[in-house]
Formats: sequence, structure tokens, C-alpha cells
Amino acid sequence: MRAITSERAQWVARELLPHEAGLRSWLRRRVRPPFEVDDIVQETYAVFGAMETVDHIRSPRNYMFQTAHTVLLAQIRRANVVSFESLVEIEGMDFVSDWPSPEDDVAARLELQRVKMLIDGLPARRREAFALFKIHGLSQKAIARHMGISQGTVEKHLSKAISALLVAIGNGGNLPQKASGSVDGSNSAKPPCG
Amino acid sequence: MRMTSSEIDQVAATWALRVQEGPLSPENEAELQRWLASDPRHFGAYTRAMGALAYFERAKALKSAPSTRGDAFTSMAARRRVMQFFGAAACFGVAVVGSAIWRAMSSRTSTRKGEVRVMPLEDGSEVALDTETTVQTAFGSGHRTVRLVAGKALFDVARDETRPFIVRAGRVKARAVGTSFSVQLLARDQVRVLVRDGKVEVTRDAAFGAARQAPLLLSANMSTLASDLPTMTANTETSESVDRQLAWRSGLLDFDEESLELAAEQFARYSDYALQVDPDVANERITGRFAATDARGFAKAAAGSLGLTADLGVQSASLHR
Repeated sequence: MRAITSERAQWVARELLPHEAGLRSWLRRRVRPPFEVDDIVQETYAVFGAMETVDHIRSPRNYMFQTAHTVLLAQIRRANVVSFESLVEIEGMDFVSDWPSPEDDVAARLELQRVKMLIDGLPARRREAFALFKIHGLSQKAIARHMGISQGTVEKHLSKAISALLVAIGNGGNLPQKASGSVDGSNSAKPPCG
Repeated sequence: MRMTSSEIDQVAATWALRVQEGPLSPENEAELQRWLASDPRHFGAYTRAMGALAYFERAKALKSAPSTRGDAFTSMAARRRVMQFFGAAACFGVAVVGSAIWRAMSSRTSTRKGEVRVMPLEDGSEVALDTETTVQTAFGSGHRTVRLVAGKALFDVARDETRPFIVRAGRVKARAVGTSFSVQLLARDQVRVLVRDGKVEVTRDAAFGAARQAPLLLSANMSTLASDLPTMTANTETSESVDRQLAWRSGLLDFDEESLELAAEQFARYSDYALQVDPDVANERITGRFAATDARGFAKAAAGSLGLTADLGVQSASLHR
């Protein structure tokens, strides 16, 4: 049975999430279609989630990059789209010379304050639900009662808040910038109003 | 069924919330296990979502503070340590206190052009500084004074009845006990005060020889502009409008039917990218949220949505028909 203990969740929060943005920018330089950065990142987290213990990991950050690299190679092999020669080329080049650079480090700086500001920037009702949940520790049932909405709506508010936060974590604390000018992460044409 | 990664994230976030809410029923547990087993990305997204939820536990504050709104919260706050991490807390009138992991603020702080920063004060209050803003603190035993030297800042004030929190900007003084409000210094010595939550008393030093003015009391969703007019009047805002006016804290500019001319002025505060708006189109109205430091992107988007032409350069752009 797959489960994430509270200790593991805290370890992930402390040791992996802050480096995710840096990992993504590192992967973007190496991942081409049909492979996708999002998929690789998710599979990487799966590896850490499934580990019996993480106590032995001296540098979680390096291990994270290493794991992502392994996941990418495994995907390439599975897809069987590259010739053996190109595969060797990828392995040799990436592993030796191009390990996480200082630029990736800068991209990965996730400061608590910026995440805070992002939550502050959530639409009013969503922010309220999230603050009741995380600050006051109310159950979803109690939040529903307090806000006068259904529990299902509370769950939707909270999961959208978590999703927004996950997007922000992946972007190093910034909201993604879209060419259309709309920055709420959705693809709707109308201006975002929460 | 192969979902997109963002769909997976959404589902994972929902599951993580359910698991945190309480033990799952056998049916739900089985459904979760099925979903986790069907694709390695699902378990990865779930791990990540659980991490995200745990992320906020890291910033538990050392002090708790009494809430000011609703008896339902008062007993809860008294029983638990309130995690005073989000400015959102101020929406409920709960005082915001800083956490020990943040550094103490130096007495004078400035932001650069395009920089937005949040910092804690020694009493547990928090200040968010907008672009090109300078604040100077002077806390004493009987008062907490902050001088806004330039720019705009949002103050989330920790409740302390023994020491009123006073923001001085130009000739204007904004006094609060436990609240959330922003103060902005504008051209020609004008000062704008916008209250998000709580109550703020605004007074203005009388000009030389002029009569004293009565203090203006603002409560939530109210604002005032202290200009060269003899009196200050209170304006009521909608909460959506207040949210829009505070979008800068997320590095965004949020417009609702704003003229291109005024929108361009706002972008000029955040970067040196020059937006030239042809007088012919200066009064076209734009709505939407934009990254404050991306004036070029705004020019492109505005042209697209208003049917105008944007000549996009490296350091400047012009908008015209």
C-alpha cells in the first residue's frame, strides 16, 4: 500500500521542493518532445515517495538531480526512439561536465516570503478558505460552516490553492508569465477574477 | 486513461487534502491506491502535494495572538498556536506575527525599481514594500512608528494595545491598533491610504497658518487621498477593488477598465522599459492581470486585445492605431 508519512512529507517540503525550480530549468535544457519535464519531475518525486528510508541521503538536492537524470534515461530507453550511439552521447556529456550549475541554483531559490505573497495574491474566497485551513487549523467541515458554502466547494478552493502553490514552487516562487499577458495560470480568455 | 500532468496535480492535491482531513473510508482508500498504482506520475504528484501541505508547517510562529473577529476563533486561537504566516490572516483581523527564522529588519530599508519585498518587524507586524519604496522604523516603549520616505507599502499590524502603530508619510499620519492597510506617497505630496482590514485613523498636520482638521476614521475597504484640498474624504471600495490594488504584492498589476495611459504610468514604476501611448489611444480601456515588470508583454497583450498596433523594441514600445 502506498502512503506518504507526515515525516516524509516534511522531508520532501524541506529538502526537495526548494530545488524543484532549479531542477526544472536544468531539465528544460535536456528534455525534448515527446518527453516532458512535468512527467519527469513527477516520476522523480515518486522515487522519493517510495523509498523505505531517506536518512542515508547526504545531499537530497544532488540525489534529486541524479534521480531525474535516471528517470529521463529510462524514459528514453523505454521509448526506443534514439539509436544506441545517441544514448551513449547523452549519458557521457550530461553526467560528466554539466552537473547542476550555479544558474540552476539561482533559479531554485524559493523564499518563504514569496510563497506567502503568492498565497496573499489568491482570490479572496480561496485565500480565506486556505487561511482557515492552514492558520486556524479548521477542518474542511468547519470551514464550510464558517464560510456558508458546501464542503465540496471548500475542497475545490483548497485544492486549487494547493495547485497554485505547486505551480509557484515549480517556478521558483514566481507565477508563470504567459504571452497573452494573463498570469493566473488558466487558459481562459476572459480576465481572471478568481 | 492518460491525464495531463496538471490534471494529475489537481487530483493529487485533492487526495492529499482528503488524507489530511481524516482517515479514508475503505472505499476511498481503495480508490486512492488504484489511482496511485496506475501511473508512477500519480504517486509522484501525490508525494509532491503532501510535501506542499507540509511546507506551511515549517513556518509555525512562536507567539500566538488573539483574534479580533468572531468568538468562534477566539477559543480556537487560545487553544492552538496560530500559524502567523500569511497576510491573509489579517483579513480575519488576526494579528500577523513574524517567525523566528526571519531576520530582524534594519531600521531603514529600500526596494529597487521593480522589486517587491515583504519583511517582518520586531513586534511581529509585517511590511510589504512595493517598487522604489523606502521605510524607516522607530519603535519605542509607547509607540511603533514607521516613516514612509518614498513609494508604497502595505502594513499588516500585530495587535498591541499598549503601543499604537503609526505610519507617517509626508504630512499625513495613519494610526492603527491591529489592522492591514497600505499607504502610498504620490506626486505633489499627496498621500493615499487604503484599508484592507481593521480601523485606521488618518490625520494631517495643518499647513502653516491653517486650521486643524478632524481625524478621518477609515475601516475595511475604505480609502482616502490626502491632496492639496483642505479636507480628506473617505471613499468606499469593493473588496475586489482592494484586492486589485494590492496585486503588486504578487508582482502583478491588476486592471479593471483602466485607461492605457494610466496603465502605462503604473508599468513605469517597475521598470525602465518605456511605454509610449499615442494620445489617440490613451483612453482605451484595458482589463486583466499582468506581470508588473513585463511592460513589453503588456504592450503586446494590450495591442492584441484592443486591436491596436504595438511597435515592440528592446527598450521601449509604442502603442497606436
